[in-house]
Amino acid sequence: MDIVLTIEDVSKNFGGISAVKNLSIEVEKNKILSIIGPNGAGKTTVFNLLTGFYKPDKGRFRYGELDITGFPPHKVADIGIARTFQNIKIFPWMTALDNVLVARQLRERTGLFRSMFRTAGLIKKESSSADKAMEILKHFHIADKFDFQAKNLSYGDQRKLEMARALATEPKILLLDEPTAGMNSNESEECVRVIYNIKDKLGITIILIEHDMNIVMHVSDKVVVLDHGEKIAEGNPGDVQKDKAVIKAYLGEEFIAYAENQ
Amino acid sequence: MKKNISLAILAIVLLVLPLLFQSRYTQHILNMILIYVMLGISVNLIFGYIGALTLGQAAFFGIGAYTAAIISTKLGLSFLPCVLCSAVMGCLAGFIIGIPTLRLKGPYFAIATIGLNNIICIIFLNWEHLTGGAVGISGIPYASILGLQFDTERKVYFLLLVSVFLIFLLYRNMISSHYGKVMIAVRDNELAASAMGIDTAKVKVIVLAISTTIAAIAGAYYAHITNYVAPDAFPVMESITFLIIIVLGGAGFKYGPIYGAVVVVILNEYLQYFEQFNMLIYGVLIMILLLFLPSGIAGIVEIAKAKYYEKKKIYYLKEVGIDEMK
Repeated sequence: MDIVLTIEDVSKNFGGISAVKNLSIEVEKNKILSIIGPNGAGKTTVFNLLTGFYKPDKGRFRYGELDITGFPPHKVADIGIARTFQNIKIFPWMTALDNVLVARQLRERTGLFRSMFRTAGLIKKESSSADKAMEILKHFHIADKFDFQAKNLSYGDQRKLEMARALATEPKILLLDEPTAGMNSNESEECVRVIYNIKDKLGITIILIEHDMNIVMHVSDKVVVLDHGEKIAEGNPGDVQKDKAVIKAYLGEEFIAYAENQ
Repeated sequence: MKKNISLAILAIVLLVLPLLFQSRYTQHILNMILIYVMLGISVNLIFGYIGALTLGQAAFFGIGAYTAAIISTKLGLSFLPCVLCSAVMGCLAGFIIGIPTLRLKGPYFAIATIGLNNIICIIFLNWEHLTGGAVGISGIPYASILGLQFDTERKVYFLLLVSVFLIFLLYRNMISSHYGKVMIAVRDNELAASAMGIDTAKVKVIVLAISTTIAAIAGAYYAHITNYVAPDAFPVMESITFLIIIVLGGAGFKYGPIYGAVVVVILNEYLQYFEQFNMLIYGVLIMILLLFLPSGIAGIVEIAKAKYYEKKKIYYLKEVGIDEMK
């Protein structure tokens, strides 16, 4: 078992409300870990803590041997953790291609002064960067819409573009926050295929927040269930489904007996 | 090919323009337009491309002008070293002011820059043995390069034209490169940009420093052209004029500063005829223009271009502010 990321006893309070409480998770390499839980359980907060948008009140994040607690977002991206957002945060006025090009800058810095003087080296580097960005768009089947303004893309395509953009930073770990939200069943099926591809072909570890239980149970290697910021269950999808605490959190006490009879 | 021809025509027009006008006054207006193009570029970088609303750009314009004035009158350095010193001062000032203030968001940054502008004006007014106080510094020599004196409006025009051309070239390269896309990303969604590994604070500070460098260079030219600097040339109102140039010309558009500078300078000059009504008419005109051109003149040009290249519509509309096209 190869652990790439460890969340150690992390807590975060907002005012008096504890959004995440004493959370510990180990993430295995090249596996899909899903975080589920009712609304307001603190799933997205975990992502925001991990990617440096919030600072934890307590606890540590370890990336391999490296302690990344308190890293600012751009540094987290630099060491290889990329994310998508629950409410899409693409750059609406840029073309789809430009969106990906912005992310490519992390790995192919062109530099400001070379840009100002437009050196031969710059032109070469920019065109190779554009080629790579096109390839990533092709991977997500939106290459034909490369010159569309991002805000004019369909909702599903915008989600794909956001994933493409995250992948363009060449991450080792990809955090997907409800990637299939608002997609129709065809689109989410395609999205699941893409997630598998990312894991299998590119060897990227995936942490997934998802509401669609079909998808969660289908793709996950391990599921972590949060409720009120606390981990109430952890294990493979089958076990979690039968867990009493999980049933209680989702459906209420009275359904436990019903579930046992099934 | 077609583009090359239109560029050649433009170059000829720009070169012949000062020869068409005999009056010194008209030539002076042409020169002011060129200086305001530099200032427009400076404001467009920080406001149009980074999205930080600045109301203190005149402070940097003033820092450049005073640096050139002091160095040329007290140390007797010639024109080019003066411009260089002004540029360095502008750049330093940009870094020093940008690092603390660019953490501020939206209107808070704007208010901080107003404060800055006032502080700089008070320094100009009160640091008498260096800045000459309210009297200012006079007797700044004409610009001269390799013994060539730029002592008439017409000669100055050509000096400015070359300088503006060079600055515009660097500015254009910068914003049309991938680095320029990073700037727009920081403006459009700072959170997402930082999640893409962009150090947004660094990008903002660097672009502000470039912007203030350009403003300071414009200041150095201004000092050498008017031969005189005084604190009342750099008030907050002047910063607002720079902003009007860019909002009217088209913020976040490459040619925005050029359109804006031409319209604002000409408007300002010709409205002088209306004496006490001039600010009133100016204000009303600006309001009407902005009501009908929310994305500035450059926005209208882009829409016209888009209609012309109907097929590539979306590509040409990719720049900001022309949502109402749909």
